[in-house]
Amino acid sequence: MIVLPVSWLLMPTRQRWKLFILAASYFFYGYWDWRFCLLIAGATVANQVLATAVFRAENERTKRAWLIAAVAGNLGMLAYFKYYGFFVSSATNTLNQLGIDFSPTIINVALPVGISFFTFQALSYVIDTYRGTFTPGRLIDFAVFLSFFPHVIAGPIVRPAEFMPQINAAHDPRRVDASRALFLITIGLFKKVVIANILATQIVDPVFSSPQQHSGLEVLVGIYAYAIQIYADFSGYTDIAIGTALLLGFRFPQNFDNPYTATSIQDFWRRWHMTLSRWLRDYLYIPLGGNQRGKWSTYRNLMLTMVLGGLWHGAAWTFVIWGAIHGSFLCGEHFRRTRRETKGLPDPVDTRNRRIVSRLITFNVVCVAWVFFRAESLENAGNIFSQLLTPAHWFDASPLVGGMVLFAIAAGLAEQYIPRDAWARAMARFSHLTPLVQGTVLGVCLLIINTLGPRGVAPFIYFQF
Amino acid sequence: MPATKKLPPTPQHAHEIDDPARHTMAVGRVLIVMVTALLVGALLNAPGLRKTAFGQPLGWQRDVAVFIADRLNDVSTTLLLSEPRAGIQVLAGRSGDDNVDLSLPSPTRPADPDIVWPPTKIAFSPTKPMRLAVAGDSLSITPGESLINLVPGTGVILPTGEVDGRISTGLARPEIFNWPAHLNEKLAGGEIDALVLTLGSNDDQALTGEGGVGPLLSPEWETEYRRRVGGLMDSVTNKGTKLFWVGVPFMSNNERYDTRYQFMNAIVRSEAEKRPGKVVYVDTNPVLSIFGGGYSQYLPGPDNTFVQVRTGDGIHFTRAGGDLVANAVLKAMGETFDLESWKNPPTTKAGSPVTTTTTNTTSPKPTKKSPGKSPGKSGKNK
Repeated sequence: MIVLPVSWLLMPTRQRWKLFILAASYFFYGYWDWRFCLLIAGATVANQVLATAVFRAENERTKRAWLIAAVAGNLGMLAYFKYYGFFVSSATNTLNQLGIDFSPTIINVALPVGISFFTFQALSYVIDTYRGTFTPGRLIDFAVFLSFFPHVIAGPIVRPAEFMPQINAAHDPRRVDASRALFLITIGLFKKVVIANILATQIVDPVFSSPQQHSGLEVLVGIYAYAIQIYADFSGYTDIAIGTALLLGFRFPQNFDNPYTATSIQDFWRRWHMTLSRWLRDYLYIPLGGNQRGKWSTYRNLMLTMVLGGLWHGAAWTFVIWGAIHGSFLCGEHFRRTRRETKGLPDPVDTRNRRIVSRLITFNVVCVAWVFFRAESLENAGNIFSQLLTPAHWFDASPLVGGMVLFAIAAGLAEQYIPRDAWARAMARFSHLTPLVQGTVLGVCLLIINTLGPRGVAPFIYFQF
Repeated sequence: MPATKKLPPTPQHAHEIDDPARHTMAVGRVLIVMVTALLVGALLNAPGLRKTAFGQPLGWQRDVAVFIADRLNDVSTTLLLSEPRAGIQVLAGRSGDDNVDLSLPSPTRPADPDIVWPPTKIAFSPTKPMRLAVAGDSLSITPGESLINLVPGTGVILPTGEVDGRISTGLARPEIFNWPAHLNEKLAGGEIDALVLTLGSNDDQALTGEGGVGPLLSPEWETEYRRRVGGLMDSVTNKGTKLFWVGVPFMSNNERYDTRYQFMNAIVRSEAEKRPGKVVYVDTNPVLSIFGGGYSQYLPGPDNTFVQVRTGDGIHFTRAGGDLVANAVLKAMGETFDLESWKNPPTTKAGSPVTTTTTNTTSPKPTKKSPGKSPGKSGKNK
């Protein structure tokens, strides 16, 4: 309620607006720990210097050297903050098990929030400059891009070419797309506070913490519930981020497109965390050779991209397996597609029944992979599957499968099947209401969200990445 | 994601695309919408806001928030605007969510001297298992989950539900969550044999509610905190439940631990010692440090490994840390109850097991003494 009016007041004077929004973004970011501000400020200056050096380099060799320095620097920072403990403890355990006495002092490295997101955005900035698809802007513009508070914590991962031109573009305070913005914020709040939190507290956390204490039915519903929880949590955050940015006059790319309606794993990745998947595609999969260097090279690139995508979420074997499952199915789908093309066979006929079956299979594969994503350890994931696959446990009492849980799962799934036009029509109708009626409608939504949501909202899942 | 040829255009929701049917707004009108929404939302959610205001950190901001929330609640109640919220809460099975209960019990002993506790260890068996509940603040959650996973291995301990973990709660601020009232309700049926309770890590602050007093660690504070701890212990044990109170563990903020939690742990320990056979204080620090030292993020694990036992915040537990705490609690239970004798049932001279139920396989509960008998020793504690 302070940032928005001031931002609107300063809209016509871009330089003042930039300073103000930079200060506000650093304030929000430093709210967790003020030392993190030094880190993001350091990353901003370093990447600006490197991008400028890449841009000004007179020959390809120098350009490449600056690029390598930037990639190494950014990934080194990410590795230190995110993977230090994992690597040192893994190395220590391996050496000790080999009989080599190794006891390093492991320092406690605090994980700066959003580091995975702003590091990837900084890499985009330098790599796009190297590719010649983007010209570095002024330091303050880049600083605003990297720290802009609606996306600094958990994305969407925005490209510099998408965002930075908007910083200097004229913003008209008489034409704010507020109805869409407020609509998205309200939907995002409902997804997070009601759907994600009900599922987390009432079934997902209990089932995943003690799978052996729950019936097969509870475990099955718990797995499906987690699929909905993580979607509602992350897409809810994204909706709020997009809506807030819109109120400030900025457009973000969409991050989700009804992912559980996907008919294949490839389709899923075109709909889930879209800004991460296109980042991995453009800065990892394609530079590795994509699908242009033969069958085996394609499989290797798919697996590498997905496993590294898994590791991006955290330093744990569970994330590696999550990525490997997706990579394996992508390879399988690629194999089927190329074999069909090689044989000159036509694409399968797209029937309603075929789509339903494909969706069911895809959703269940994604859910199996989510078990590894959510599990604390491989042993924990094993216990989940063991409990699920033991018929005797199916007849145990299932008190966790209650009305609110089923309601939240149904709401999370139903939201993805609402026709796109229906959203557009609803927003258009909402935008035609008078301000007082709009406010009253939103107030009633706040009643529903606040009353149905469990007290004490847990942090967004993707804040930890 | 992976295909480099025939890449589809980035999918977008229709509602993301500029829609000429949608009106844009001037910022002044946007402000009117937002203020109206907040006002209507505040009036409709007034009872919940009042509870939230009470739970704010102590200080003038809280006083102002409570003042405004109280007025808002009065208006909302008068205009019946709080009714829809109450209706939704009934439908969701969460009536009473907005109640603010500030009452806290005092120690009752020897108010109920007629309760006699069996002098010997209570024995449990697979046919008569010990019913266990686990509750507490955020520090109870991971160790509690570990304990619930661990106890089935004993064959005689039956968890009665999930960990009843409530983040940011304790005995200092009953308006945020009233543990005595909650446990009173939870244990009302008298069906829980043992309760593992972890409280204290959020109590290093001035005390509010009935008997509220400050500042932290002053003599008045100590007296009141002792009253609350003792009151809760009696309220639990008078229902026939044995209480295992897990102390606050070392934290990476050594100064905070040394100056505050050590003092609070000492209060809990001394109150537990006043209630022998009923309350067991579980000190987990010995298993969470190396060579008797203080806080440790990593500890030697099994098979010559090195495991992280505390999370990055220096307060909470990783799963490995939770397992260590759970084992310490289970050890304390083994010392308090007889969890083993069922494995070696008494045999007849011929060597065959006794088939009749013996007293050590039952779960003796505290009983009321018959009139005329002298008071038992259970009533000696103050």
